[in-house]
Amino acid sequence: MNTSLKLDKKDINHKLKDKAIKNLNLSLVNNSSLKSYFEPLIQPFAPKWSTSLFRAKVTKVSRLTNNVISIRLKTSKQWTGFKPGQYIELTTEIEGAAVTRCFSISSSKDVWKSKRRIELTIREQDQGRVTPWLISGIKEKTYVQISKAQGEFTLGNAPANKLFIAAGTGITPIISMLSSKVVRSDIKNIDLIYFARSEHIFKDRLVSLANLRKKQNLPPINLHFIDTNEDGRISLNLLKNACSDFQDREAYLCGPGGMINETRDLLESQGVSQHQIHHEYFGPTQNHKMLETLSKANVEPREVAFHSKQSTTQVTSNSNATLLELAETAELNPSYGCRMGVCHQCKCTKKSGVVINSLTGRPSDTGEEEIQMCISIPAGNVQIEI
Amino acid sequence: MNNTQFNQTTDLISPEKSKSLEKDLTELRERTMSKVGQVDANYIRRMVRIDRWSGIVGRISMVLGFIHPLFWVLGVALLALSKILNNMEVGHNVMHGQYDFMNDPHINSRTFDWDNAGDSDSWRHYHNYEHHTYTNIIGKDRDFGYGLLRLSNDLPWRLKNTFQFGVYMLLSILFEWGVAYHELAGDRVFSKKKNSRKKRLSAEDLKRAFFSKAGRQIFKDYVFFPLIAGPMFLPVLLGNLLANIIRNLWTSTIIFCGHFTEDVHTFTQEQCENETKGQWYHRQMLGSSNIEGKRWFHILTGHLSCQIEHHLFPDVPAHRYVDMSKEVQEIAKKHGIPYNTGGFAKQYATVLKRVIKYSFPQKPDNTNGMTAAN
Ligand code: FES
Repeated sequence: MNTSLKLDKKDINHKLKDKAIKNLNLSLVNNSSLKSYFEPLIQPFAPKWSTSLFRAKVTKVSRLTNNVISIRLKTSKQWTGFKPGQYIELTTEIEGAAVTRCFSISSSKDVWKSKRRIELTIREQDQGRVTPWLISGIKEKTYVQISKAQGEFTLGNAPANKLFIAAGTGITPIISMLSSKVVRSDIKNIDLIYFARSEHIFKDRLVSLANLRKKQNLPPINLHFIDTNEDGRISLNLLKNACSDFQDREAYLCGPGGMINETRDLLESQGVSQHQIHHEYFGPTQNHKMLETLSKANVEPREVAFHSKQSTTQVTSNSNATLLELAETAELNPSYGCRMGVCHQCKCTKKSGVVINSLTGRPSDTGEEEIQMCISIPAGNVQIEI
Repeated sequence: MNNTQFNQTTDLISPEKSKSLEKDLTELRERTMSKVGQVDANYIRRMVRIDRWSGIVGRISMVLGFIHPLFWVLGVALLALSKILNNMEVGHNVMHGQYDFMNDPHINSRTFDWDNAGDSDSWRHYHNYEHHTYTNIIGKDRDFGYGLLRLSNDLPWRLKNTFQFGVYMLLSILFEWGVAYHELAGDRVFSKKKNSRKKRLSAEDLKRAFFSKAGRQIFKDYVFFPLIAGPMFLPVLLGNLLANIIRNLWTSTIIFCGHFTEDVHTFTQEQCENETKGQWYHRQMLGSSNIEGKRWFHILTGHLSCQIEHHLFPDVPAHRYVDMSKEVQEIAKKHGIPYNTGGFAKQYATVLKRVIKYSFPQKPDNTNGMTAAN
């Protein structure tokens, strides 16, 4: 009791102090943080200097296949590191606008430890302008912002045998796991079933990893490269052939939604329990599916989640109601003014999803951005912060 | 007294005709917005840097006034420049959401705070919403005369209007305070009316915001910076006061030239019910006036010298207005809509004329420039 009271007091003091500092800054420079006031003045001379997130220098951009690109980043001292399998949010500036996307780290943790270097592997998607567009903003020797590493798709501590199932660029978090020390010695059996359409990226790297383990007399990594064009998708037969004891393995699935659902159903139907299965959605985002539904935007039901500091409210839309109208039907009391796209009173942050601008009929980007609720019609599932 | 006979409000174009006006202007907006990008981001960042550097150098230079008074003069000039840029080209425009496309946490309409007595959040509400939506609608646009001045015959004449030139001068000198206070005072007046719209900011919120912002501004310019100047306390205090007054006079003058020149029109509430978007555009064009000038002049006015374009396209980055104005003029000509523009001296002279003219009651038969213009 006592300690918690003390803690509360400390907490309150801390908050008061923060508030006082913020007020002082607001008073002196009309900015809640002195650092961000000075940032634009300092950055022209010291490009590394930044107040928000972490800056990372792009040291190399290379093309692995004609639509897969790998980016090497040198992280700053402040960056807190990652667990193999995690992803980061990368922010770069394109045409004056900050654009943010999530990418899995495909390099080994050991490399980061010794060289402060990470690698991201990115597939250019033809459907959306999204990824190629992002890549156009990433140039060697420039700086990008990265977030702390995030995500739960990491190896557990148990030395259980593993079964990795990847599809397409879904291999990226897995290759980071396989090449990091964590899996080097204490796990007996590792199988990787890797689906791809004709071209398996990182095939060479995987083969040499497997060879290295052999040389070091470690239990092997069994690689199964499946060409979906010839051998089709996952099936019980395929699974049994590749890894007969799959029921006893800890499974890590990474790939597009369809593949994950299919595989998970298959595993569960064979008695693999839910907590044995880890997964991460990956590959072509819903993006192009959303674009397809644009024309049907006012027919298909779409889920809109409004997040506020206190709670989250889910609304389903079957019409071409704007986000403002949806928020109102959910009695969220959104603020607004003109309701015609002029005053910007109805601004909110879209965390993800596509909305259509009702004035121009144009779809938005998929990532995080500021939007006006009164002229935004959700085109798919959308996450909103109000 | 029945003022309808004095009414000098203007008819808006018919809903049918308004369609093609809407199309022309919307296309211009689209064309301009498609170009918005890196240029605009670089531009506003440069303005932010100039604003901040001139503020910092200005404050230091003022203290150096003990070496030579010229340092003090330079300091005041730089600080005034900083405040003007901060309020007009940066603050006003950023708070309109013109640069929200950048997704920059600090150059953002929701978070920006300006070096001005008015609380940004309240200002955003009144200015962006009320003033820009109900431009020059008598009784709805509180910025029309700021509740202090009678600038058209829509308001009945009162004896106090006789002294309104003096009031106007005072308002100009204290402009930031006038605007900040007016929002607060106005709200009490307006809250008597039933308003179904949920208010984002309650009267309490507004009051709190007003006092905390006012306190911060006073603390900065009249306590903190003078105090750390030590023996230069008084010169710094006076310098800050002077810089604030220069900024006030400048912003007030420019804003009056944008809405209260002689030929600017006013509207009634009934007129604007069920208004089409084209009619809204039409009203914005009739309710605003431009000032011609060089590039540096436009920048110092925050491009409010292109008030017409600003009112048509409040969220297009303002430094593009000058280019847009050529096309807007053509569109105005095509649709037979007057386009009110002129040099600074000419426009300002008509503002003064208007302030004086409406200091006195008008006879019903006293036809004026405005009705004639219709
Ligand atoms: S309510 Fe005015 S822009 Fe949305």
